[in-house]
Amino acid sequence: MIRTRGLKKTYASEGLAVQALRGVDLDLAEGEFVAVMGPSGSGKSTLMHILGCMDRPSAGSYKMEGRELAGLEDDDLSALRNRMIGFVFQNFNLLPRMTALENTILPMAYSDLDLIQRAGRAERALKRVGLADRMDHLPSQLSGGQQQRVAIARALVMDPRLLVADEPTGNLDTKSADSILDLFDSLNDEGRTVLLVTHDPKVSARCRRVLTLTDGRVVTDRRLRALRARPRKNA
Amino acid sequence: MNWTSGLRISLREMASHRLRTSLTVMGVVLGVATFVTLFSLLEGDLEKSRMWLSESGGLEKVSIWGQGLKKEERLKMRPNRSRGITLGDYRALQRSLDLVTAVAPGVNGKGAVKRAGKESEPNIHGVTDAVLGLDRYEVARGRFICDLDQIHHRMVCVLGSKPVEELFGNEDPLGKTVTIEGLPLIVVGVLKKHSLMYGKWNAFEWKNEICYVPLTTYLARGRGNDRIDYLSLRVLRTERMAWALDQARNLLLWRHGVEDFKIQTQQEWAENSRKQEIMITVILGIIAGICLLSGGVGIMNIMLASIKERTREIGVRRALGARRGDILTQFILEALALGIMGGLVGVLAGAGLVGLLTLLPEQAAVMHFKPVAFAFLSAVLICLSFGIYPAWRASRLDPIEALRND
Repeated sequence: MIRTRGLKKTYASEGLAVQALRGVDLDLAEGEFVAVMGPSGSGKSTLMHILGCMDRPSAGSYKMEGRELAGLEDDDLSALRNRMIGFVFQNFNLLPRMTALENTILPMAYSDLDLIQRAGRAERALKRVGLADRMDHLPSQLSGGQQQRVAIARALVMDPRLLVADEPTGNLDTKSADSILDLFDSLNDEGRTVLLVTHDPKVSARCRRVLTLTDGRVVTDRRLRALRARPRKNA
Repeated sequence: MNWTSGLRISLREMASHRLRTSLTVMGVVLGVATFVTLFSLLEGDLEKSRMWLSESGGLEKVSIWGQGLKKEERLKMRPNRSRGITLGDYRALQRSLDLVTAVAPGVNGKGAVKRAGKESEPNIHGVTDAVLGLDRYEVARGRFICDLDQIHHRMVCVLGSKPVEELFGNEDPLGKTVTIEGLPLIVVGVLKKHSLMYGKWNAFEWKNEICYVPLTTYLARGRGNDRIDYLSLRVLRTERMAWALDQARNLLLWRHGVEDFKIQTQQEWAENSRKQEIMITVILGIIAGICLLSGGVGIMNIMLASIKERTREIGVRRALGARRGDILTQFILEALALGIMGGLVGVLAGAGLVGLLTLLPEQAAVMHFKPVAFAFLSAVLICLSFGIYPAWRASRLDPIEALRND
């Protein structure tokens, strides 16, 4: 599904050119569950941002389903994020004055889905993450684990091909973290491709494949378990 | 993203920050309220003076007043020195001017009108019946002063509604006797009441404070000569005003030998008041404009602060697929909604203020659609234009940086 060749990213920081990625070649098949590991400054966040279409590479090629994304305009990337990619963040990033349902509806405000569909889709997504009874709660009325579930529902609501999670369990206690990882596991079982950025080996151990980055390069690429053979369900 | 969902997002945001929102629009509210109030006051004044113009005879009225002479003119004076404006002048003008349709002579009287211990102090004038048409009066009851009154120097008078109220209350004044300076006069007529109400204040009350007596009666009893204080003329056509004025001036100059009189038209007055009007409008416009601009700066200031505070939200929205244009639209709609709200509240506040002001004595204020609409639209436009820059800043935020923001 994803194929990068020679992916490079250079930042200008205080007059110095910082090379965050120094040529990453990566192939991700449909339905993979990949952990990206590495020390801070290794470029894993940059890689996640580029793969998540939040950022553009300085050089190299990034193809998603055969389509070259490296030279796309900002608006095209926005549309791709909306339709193809679901983001989950370490600090949940829910909008505090909106209920769980409204937060889940949010991505659809930037799509051309009609209004009648929106609430139904959001409700289904919240049911999928097990929060059918918390739809009208504000984020402040939910536990950390529940907030992260809302965030996952929000990431799922546009039915994206790729879920990108940045330290999704970093702010959670062990029990909640486990249940969130279970959720990712089951989403992957349904055939969704999941890219998980973490520095926690316990988290990466739950994935099927682990990439380790150092100094902007992929240094190890281990496959822990085989890819699920089941094809992705079309919701 | 479409406009309706954008507007919904903006309204939500405003509703969830009620204090911030109301502080933001305060400047605009004050600006609009100031604008509406000032222009209502101005408009009231204009209406008052327009009505005054027509109620005091319109543009076709010309007044001639006696005027003192300068030293050098006094030296040039003919031996048969002028006695000022006299009844003779009145008759001469009436006989010989073909561009003038009516001439009304008049004297200003002094003193109070008394009856049975009650007293009223209207303006007392000795007049002929020509004054009715020239000064726009109508008889409500009884009759006006007639030629027979003049010939026989009859002791009669016609009262305006104010002295009638003060002297008679609910009694019928017709046929009753009042006294002026000890002289008894029979009330033969009552004039129609004039009113132009602003709240409880009648802007035309001055017209009702009047007492007319026959000119000849007044001259014979009160003065003992034939000098009169003023002449009012009505010209046939205002386009030929200049010729009519020349005629009147030439005739009087020939009769007097010196220019001991002043001819005044209402046109000059109207022109002066128009000039003043324009000046006041410009000044008020500038004041209100400054108010509105400061409101706009307030909007911009708070919007910049709000965008800083909401950086992470912008980042989240961008990550979820909002295009730059969506963010721009969202914040511009917010500015627009603020402008509409501020404008509406401002118009309402202005209307309230105008209502309060008309409760004050002698204050005319009228709200007209045009200045109100203008104030509202400028508020909306100013908010919109001052919202563009913050909205543009918001839309240019880098989503990754925005998400890192705490």
